[in-house]
Amino acid sequence: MGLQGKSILCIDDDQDFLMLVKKILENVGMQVYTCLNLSEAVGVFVKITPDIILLDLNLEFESGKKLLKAKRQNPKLSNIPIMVCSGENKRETIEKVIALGGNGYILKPIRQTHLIHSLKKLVGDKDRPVYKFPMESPPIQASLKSDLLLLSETKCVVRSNLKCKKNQVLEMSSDLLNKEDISTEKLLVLQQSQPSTNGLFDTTLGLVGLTEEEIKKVKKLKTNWSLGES
Amino acid sequence: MSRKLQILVLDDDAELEELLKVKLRPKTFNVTFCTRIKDFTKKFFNEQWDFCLIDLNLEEAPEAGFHVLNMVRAKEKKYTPIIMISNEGEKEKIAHAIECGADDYVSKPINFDILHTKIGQLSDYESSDLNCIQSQLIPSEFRTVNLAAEFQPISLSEDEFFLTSASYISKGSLVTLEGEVIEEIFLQDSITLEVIRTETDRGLYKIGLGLDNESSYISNVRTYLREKLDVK
Repeated sequence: MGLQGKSILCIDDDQDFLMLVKKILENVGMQVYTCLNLSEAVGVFVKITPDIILLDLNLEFESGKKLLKAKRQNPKLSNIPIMVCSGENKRETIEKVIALGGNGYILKPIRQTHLIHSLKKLVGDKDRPVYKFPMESPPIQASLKSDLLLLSETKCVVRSNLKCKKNQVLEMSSDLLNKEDISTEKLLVLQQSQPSTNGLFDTTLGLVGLTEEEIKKVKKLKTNWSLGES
Repeated sequence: MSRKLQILVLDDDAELEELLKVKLRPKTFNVTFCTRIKDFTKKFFNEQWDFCLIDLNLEEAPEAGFHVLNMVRAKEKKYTPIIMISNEGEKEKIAHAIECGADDYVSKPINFDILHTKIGQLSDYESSDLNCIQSQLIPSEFRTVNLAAEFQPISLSEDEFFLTSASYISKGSLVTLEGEVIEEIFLQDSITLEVIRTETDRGLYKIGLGLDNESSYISNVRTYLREKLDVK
């Protein structure tokens, strides 16, 4: 099933990274071989033909691209899918890796589920049955940890991984506002979320239907904060 | 200078008419006041409006404010933001009005700073002119919140759970899911999964959440899939 029983050769000059990957992939039943550089890798190829290669782009004294180039010329290598991993997130770098014959690109630091999923995609995991939900299925509420940055009597600004369109309706739960009994069950996205730093988005949300009491409480919170009290 | 915002008001309180004409900045707004429903609907459907204010408590008929709101929302061709005017403390009525399609409400006596800001927020007018209320930066210890949106389930396999929504979520985010469907699949109230990919699909986003084959919930997922797929 999936990755179980498949072999993988991981090439990376970072011993800690190799240990981590080995642990993750052995847990899903893969046979994991590790090397610190390309010449060590050649030694492994003599003995075995791995099902997948996980290749670091920036090895200590050489570039992983060398292996991608070799893959094009070597019939033994050409059938092995290569997943390239690197901390470089520049579009040009990724495009170049794919153009050179890389079969996938995964960003460091890696996450367990993401690594496994990407590798599964690489070896083809089509035998898994897929259930399609009927159109009328009840909605699912999805929530994310976010940062509430600004607050006023009529709106707030939240920074999160969620990018919304104008007029969408969201719900928010905040320990602070819950404690004050200020309801944030209906928030209207006033304009499309704006990109902020680190891939996050800032969303301005209208506080709909606040009562006079709630508005007074917000005003009081604002005054306290502006005076530096909590 | 940009054109004035055309505001149509339905309220049978004559004092309010005077007040609105003075207090809603005459340089920014052109206020048309109606005291009767018939006049209001005629004007609403025959002219272009940027904004409406409707009194919830008209004397003409009980619940008239709701009827007008429902009719406008059912028949309008172009969406017009509507703010309801209510009396203080009518919390349930307000909630009902918002369910019926009102964008927000203000209560009498009207706080014009708030009304101006709300109109600015809801209309496409250069809102900085109307932004009378300052936002306050929140101290870092109070910032953590959970932001929730509704998603529609699309497909499920042992590896991936696909949802769709108008919102985009970045890859690598952790998302907590709740709802009837989640309870059926995972046999628990909520589950936290990681976004492993996002794709665009006709103006919406498809969000792929990774399922972990080593986790404790996976046997429940397999049972759910078997049941659903066997029925077919």
